[in-house]
Amino acid sequence: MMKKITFLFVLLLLAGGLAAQATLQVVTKTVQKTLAWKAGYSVEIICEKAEVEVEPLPAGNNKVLVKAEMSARHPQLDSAKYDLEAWKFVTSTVGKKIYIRAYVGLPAGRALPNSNLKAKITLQVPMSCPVTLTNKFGKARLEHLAGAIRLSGEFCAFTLLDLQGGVNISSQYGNVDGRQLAGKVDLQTKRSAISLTGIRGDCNVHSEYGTVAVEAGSQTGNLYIQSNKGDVTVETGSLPRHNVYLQATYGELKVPSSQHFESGSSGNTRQATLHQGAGRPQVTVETTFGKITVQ
Amino acid sequence: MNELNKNTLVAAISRLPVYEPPGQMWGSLDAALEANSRLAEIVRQLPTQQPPADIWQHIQEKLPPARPRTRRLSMWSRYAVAAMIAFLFGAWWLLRPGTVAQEQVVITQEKMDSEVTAAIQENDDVAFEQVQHLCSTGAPVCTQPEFLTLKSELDELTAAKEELHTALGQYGDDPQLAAQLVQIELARTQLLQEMIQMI
Repeated sequence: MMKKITFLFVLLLLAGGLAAQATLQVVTKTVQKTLAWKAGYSVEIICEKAEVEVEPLPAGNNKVLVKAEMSARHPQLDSAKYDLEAWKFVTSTVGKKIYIRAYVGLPAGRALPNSNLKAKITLQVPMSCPVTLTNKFGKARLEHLAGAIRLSGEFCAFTLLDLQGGVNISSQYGNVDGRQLAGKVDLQTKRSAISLTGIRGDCNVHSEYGTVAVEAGSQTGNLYIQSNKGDVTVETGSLPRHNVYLQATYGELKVPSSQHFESGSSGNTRQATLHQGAGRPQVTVETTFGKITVQ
Repeated sequence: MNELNKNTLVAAISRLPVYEPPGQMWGSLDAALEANSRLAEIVRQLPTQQPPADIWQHIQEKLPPARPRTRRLSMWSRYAVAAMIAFLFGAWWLLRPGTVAQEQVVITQEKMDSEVTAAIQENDDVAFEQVQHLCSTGAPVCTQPEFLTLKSELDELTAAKEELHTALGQYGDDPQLAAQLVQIELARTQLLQEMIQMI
């Protein structure tokens, strides 16, 4: 009997311990700022472990609103509170650039935080304001903006919706999902999956170790995709308006039989061409160790 | 007060040198005094002028309106005014663009997603270590260019995995980053399989 009671007691202790382990104390510091903005000013966001959202303010608002929620998560409340102090949030205006920084800054000699650190940064900017963003470990969502957008990320997924001022992205280990993008689109990615639809301008993609899926629609300009060790899918629709040139080295080519592609091969390289007429925009896809599919 | 060394002092004073002013000094002093008295005489002889009567009217018109006489504030009133100024300045400081408008700290609780954390904290397969060990012992396969390319890719992925692990920490349960980690792990596994086939 005594053994049974001891066993039950141990089980209860274990269960309690597990439950305690599964609950995290989350200490969140929220900072809100309003920054003055003038035409010609741009915003540069430099952060890490952050989920960033950038959206436009209603017309006529010459300011930038920033809300940063920085948190530390740890089973022990004291540890979470202590680690929260590692978060630094700084804004400054230098010349015509508004800098917004959220980073983990440790004084010399202080140990790395044990807590899981996260930040959520929400920005509202004038629609025409150009935005530059650098983030590591997190995600970023930008929508309905008309200024030039420049993004750089590692382990940061980008979601872009209705951007009219051109987009330049450099990403490693972070997927890119873009819809309704006007202006020039430039992507340089590594180990990232890319999905682009509703492109209304020229588009260049350089990808390594990642899949690329791009829609070449009626408003899409010249499209150039170069992929190394990754499959590429181009969706042209049933009535393609582009001239197409495909080249796969050490890879397959798959084109719809309904479209009159001219195919050929030399050595380990396969080519296919679709000529619709002079003056039309061009789709060029080149892969190495990757399959090209046109659908 | 008694001078203790009076004799010494008197003797020292008597030894001090005596100077006489130059002879022409008195003449120049006399001339300067004479000039001053003549100037005072000339000033007395100057005609007296009276301003026209309407000049004060013109001056008064150009003067700013007279301020009402200020009442001297009591000590408490002065404190109140100072507090009001401090309050208004503080309000302006807080509300002006570019300044913290709000800052607050909130404590909440969250349950960790055990499935996600398990995926994140999964230990590395022994086979990965074996490949590293193989190359550290100088196995011939590790000199083959194709194998080296695969190993370099594997090392890159392993570094990325470790970086992600560090960022997530012990209590990270971000599903998106966990999915990224799984993808890296799949790519590493595929590379490992290719490398093992070459051994």
